[in-house]
Amino acid sequence: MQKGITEKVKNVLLVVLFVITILLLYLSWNKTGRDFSVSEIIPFSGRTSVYVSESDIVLPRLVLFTEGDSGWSVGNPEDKKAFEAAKKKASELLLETSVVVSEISEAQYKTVSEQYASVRFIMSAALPFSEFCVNICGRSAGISDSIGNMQELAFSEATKDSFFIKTDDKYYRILSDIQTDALSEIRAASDITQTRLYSASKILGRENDALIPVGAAADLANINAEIYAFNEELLAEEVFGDTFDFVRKISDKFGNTTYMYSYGAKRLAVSADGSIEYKEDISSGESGGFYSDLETALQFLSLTDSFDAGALRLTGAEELSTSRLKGYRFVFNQFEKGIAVDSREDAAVIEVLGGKVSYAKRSLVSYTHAEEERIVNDAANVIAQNSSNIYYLLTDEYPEDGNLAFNYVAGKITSVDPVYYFHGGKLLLCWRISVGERRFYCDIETGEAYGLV
Amino acid sequence: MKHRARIISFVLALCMLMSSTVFAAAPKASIVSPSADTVVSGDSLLISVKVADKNSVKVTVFEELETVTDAKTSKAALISVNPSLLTEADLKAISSDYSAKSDASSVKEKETPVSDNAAAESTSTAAVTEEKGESQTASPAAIPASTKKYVYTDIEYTSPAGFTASGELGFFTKQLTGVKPGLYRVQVDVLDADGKTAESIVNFVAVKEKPAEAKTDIFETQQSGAMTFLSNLLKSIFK
Repeated sequence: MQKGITEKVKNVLLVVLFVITILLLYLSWNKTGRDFSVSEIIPFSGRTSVYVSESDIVLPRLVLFTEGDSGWSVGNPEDKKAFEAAKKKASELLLETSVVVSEISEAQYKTVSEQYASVRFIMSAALPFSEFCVNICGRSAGISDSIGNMQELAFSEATKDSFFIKTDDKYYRILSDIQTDALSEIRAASDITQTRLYSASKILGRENDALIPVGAAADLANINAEIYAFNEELLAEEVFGDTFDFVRKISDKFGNTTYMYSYGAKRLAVSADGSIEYKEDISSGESGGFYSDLETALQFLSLTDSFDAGALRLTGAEELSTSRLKGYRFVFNQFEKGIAVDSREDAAVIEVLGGKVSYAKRSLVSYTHAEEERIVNDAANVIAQNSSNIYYLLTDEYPEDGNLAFNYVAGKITSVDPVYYFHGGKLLLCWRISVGERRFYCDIETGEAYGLV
Repeated sequence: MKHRARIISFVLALCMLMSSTVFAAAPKASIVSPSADTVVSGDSLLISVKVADKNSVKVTVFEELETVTDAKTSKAALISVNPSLLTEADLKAISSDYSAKSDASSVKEKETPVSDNAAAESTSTAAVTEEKGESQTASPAAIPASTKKYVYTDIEYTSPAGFTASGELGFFTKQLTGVKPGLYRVQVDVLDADGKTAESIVNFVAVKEKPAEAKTDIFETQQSGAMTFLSNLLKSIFK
């Protein structure tokens, strides 16, 4: 009897070992030893992750509504429903049997988006349009990769069978064979604020299409903030996973710590100022495309302890290419109540090559408490107040008179936005006056200049 | 000697001319928006005023109303001006006439007869409310276009708003929404040290309803000549 049971146990063990052998052989033939991880087939129970969806991160920077009266109303920056409605309407148009994509002129785009009732979604990060279409409607709908990256998405009362996009340097009309009242449905789903935008021509009296806000959201206050604190060991464990036991830890007297695996093939540096930097040597793999690489980046972000990655938004994306690998570089920034948080560095930068994270940098702030509400000063007034300083910083020359400086600056402005500027342990509410790549931060109430980037 | 005198007097005249331009006072305030004597469409109005050198201003928007007498009851009522009857030329005429007769009081009477049979009409302050008027817009038939008579009574559309530029230059901006079709006057009073009006700057603007969008084919000319030829050729082949 006992002999029979022993034989049965041996048989079972043999079968299990045989199956595992076949499985491991298959996996080792398909991957190199460096890429293969047991955790890919056996979930590592010690790892916790809170997955953040792409729809929470990939959002427009501005949602603008107009009745064709040369002024724009602004959608609530915290509201995601407007963009969801826009994607749904675009998907309906794309799913028809006959979809024609044609290039249009800038003048035509401006006509449909400015002279007719319309809505424009100005994206925080340019998205590859063909992949955007696949993402929203499940198929490419015949959209070519050559169209490029979508910076703006627009629907207009001028044509109910189309939507429009602006790429880096061109404009397109996507014409379907059905009609849909996209504008009304998007407007119904949206939370439109009292803030209005007008061109600098109308407000400042200088020829410039840049949009300047009149009025701003209420209930805004400076916020006390500090560098985001985290458990360094826990973070390292989550990043290295089951290879953590083989990781070397090196600390210096300044409080910086470096974790290294396999002679630097993977390394994690934690600085005393709270920023982290991760690097991994990637030698092979395939990029799954924009959205697949973005998901890889988001999974990495979600790994990192208890930080709410949903407070981040994608603010930049560019293609990466080495001799053997392709991928993307994603930039994320923090947002509070839909308002961007600006500091010297981006909140997170993640590079994905060959479908894996090859580089990641993170520098976050966490909020403690808000102060009293601020009174918002007109953006035009703040620009006028600081025009001489901005002129000097742009030209390295003192202006002969205030009017000269103002006229110069008013003609060069590219955007004016309310932001939180991380400075002196606080998130200070500011007007961010952008002149090309240069950014000037001025207090939203007093107009005091805080900094120049 | 005579020649020298001529030169001297020429130089003096030139100096006087230059001084009048060089030392001319920069405007203390100017209205950036709405532009002077313009017609705008929609129900919102942007007010943007540029103020120089720490000056103080008071910004008020007035609505210009006109008197209509009911034929049956002979009762006079003030109603909003029909902006569809006004052109930019009319606004210029109204503006220049106002400038000639300008007055800081809140009730005035202006008349700029164009046709010979125009007659002066007295204004009435009956049926006027201070806050955005309960007036109605006259139908085109109520005011014969041939008469071209501008007789207005103004009421405050917005309460006066004060603003002082904190530095060399400042801006006062205000967004008016829900603006009914009519004729409006944006008035900026520059105040002296005692708070009294030293000068006034005025822009007239006619606000019209936004017309229904003309469904013109914006993309009609999208195809180039070569493409049009090619598509027509293909159509003729496969007819």
